[in-house]
Amino acid sequence: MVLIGFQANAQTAKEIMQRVDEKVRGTSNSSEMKMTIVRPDWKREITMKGWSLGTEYSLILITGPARDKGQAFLKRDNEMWNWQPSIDRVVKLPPSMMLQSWMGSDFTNDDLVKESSIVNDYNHSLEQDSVINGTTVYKVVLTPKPDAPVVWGKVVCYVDKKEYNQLLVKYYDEDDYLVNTMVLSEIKEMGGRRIPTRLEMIPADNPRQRTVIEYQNQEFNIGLKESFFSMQNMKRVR
Amino acid sequence: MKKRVLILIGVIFSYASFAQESDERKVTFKGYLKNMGSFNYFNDELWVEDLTHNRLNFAWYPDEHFSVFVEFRNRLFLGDFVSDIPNYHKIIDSNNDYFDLSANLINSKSALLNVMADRVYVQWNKNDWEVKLGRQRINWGVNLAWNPNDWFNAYSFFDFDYEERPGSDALRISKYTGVASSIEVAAKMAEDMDRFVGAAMWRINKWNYDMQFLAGLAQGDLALGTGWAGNLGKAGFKGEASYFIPVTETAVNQSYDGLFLGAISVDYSFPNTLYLNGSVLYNSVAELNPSFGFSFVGARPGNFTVRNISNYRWSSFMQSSYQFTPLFSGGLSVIVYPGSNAFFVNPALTVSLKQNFDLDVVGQLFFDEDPLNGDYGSVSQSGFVRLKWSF
Repeated sequence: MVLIGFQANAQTAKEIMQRVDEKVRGTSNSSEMKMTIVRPDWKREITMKGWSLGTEYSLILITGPARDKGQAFLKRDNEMWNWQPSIDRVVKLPPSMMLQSWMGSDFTNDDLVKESSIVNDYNHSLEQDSVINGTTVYKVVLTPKPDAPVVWGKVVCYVDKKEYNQLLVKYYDEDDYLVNTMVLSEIKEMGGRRIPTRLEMIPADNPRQRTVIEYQNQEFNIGLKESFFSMQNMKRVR
Repeated sequence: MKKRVLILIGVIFSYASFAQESDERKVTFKGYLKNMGSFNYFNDELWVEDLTHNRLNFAWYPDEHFSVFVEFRNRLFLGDFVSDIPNYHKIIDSNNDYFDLSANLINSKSALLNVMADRVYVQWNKNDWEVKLGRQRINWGVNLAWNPNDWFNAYSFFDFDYEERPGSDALRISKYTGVASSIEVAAKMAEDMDRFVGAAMWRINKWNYDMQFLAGLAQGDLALGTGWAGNLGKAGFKGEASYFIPVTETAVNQSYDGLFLGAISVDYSFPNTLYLNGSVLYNSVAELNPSFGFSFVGARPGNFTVRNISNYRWSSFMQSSYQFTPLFSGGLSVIVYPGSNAFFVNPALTVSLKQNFDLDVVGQLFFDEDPLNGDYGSVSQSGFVRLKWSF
């Protein structure tokens, strides 16, 4: 009885994350976003367009700032390339690059190209419901599977029970210290779905700094095929 | 005549970009303006130069299959090199190209203004095919520091201020045979075998490795090459090699019967942004300890080929870079030539002053035995301060 109850519970937690994942990603999607790195006395902006299919394939085109405009990043399974049009060169990036900061921000490359999956790379457990800004939320604890390509020791997601949107995500290291907090807000209709359009990543050791991602446009289930994520297309997308 | 052609191309493209500003997908325009002060100490003398460097990149996309790219590099030199080095204007105005699209618009005792178009090409795409005709960069190299597979338009690692690197007047036809595989055939226009390069490359992706195989005729040599980019655990592992066998004597191949150039590199980046790159280059015909080993530095833009990327038999490169803050990063590259006492140290700092404004401070220090008197020490020390506005 205890065993069955535990399994049903674990199943539910995973199902919640599956619904969350499906909602923000669809089978395939495209987006336009602005990333702002905020520090107490300065700001820097990066704008980009992105396309993805599952967690296996993604393509990102940098549209600003001027210095980096035109550069593109392609990820297929666990391989990643960077196209530098000014020198006509595709550079294969080492796997260690995945956990590095994305262009100086508080997000990692993995956050952007989503190599790890909140569904497949973690074991899930459900804790007691919580309340965020008056909204009742599921509290789901994600513990990475042994070989998962993630740096975290634990990730705690707070998910709106009605709309299945993540509202708050806390990232812990292997010693259980809080490293980053992500706050998701500005829930709007975009691409036919009501989703958070503003993501704010705040490092725990320096709460005065943050990186904000604002989505200007998103579309879901747009029928992208695996063949879209090619070297040829990385050089051609605009 | 040449000046008029250059100005005409510029006018047409500026007009096109203003006329179509509302339709930003048809014409794009970007570039930068840099000013660099360089302080060079050699032969017991300090040489100071100020270089204002402007780049204008135009792209025109008339329809989904065609695109046209024209890019200008405009440089104004002031200072001791202009006034004291005889023929400095010729060195600046020389290039490897079939069409002479470079002109010195001002050439006086105190100032030199050079304007050149280093990319002028049309591109046609359809399905898996891509054709590029005109002055373009054909970049078949894989490594960061040394590229033995860069048969068409080699560049010197020391010429750090030319990020885009030279192009070639060429025809290139590519067929993409898969998501990460292709066949490319390219030929560079030339009046004689001294400069002609024609080659094909087959690129595949297997076992998480990009692999490439090259063959062709390069400046009188039968050339064969291969390269790869993959991983060793979490580290990147890349390499490339070329073998040149003279079939016709040309200006570049008189000193060897066969020349092997090979380079491998390993790179790793830590989550804290520390990036490390290590590489070794082998040149089978170079001496272990050549005198005037560094003499090629920047002195031969007109006939630099892949065979000259290092004058030493063994060259080893180590680079580390670290981002102190998102605005401030630093790097240190060191090149050591095993078998000789020569080495090169290259510290660099980059500061983002504002959005689109960067400041770089770069040092280039060469150490070797003085070829004239045998004294060991720094043969040349250069410092550069560069401000860059990107638009």
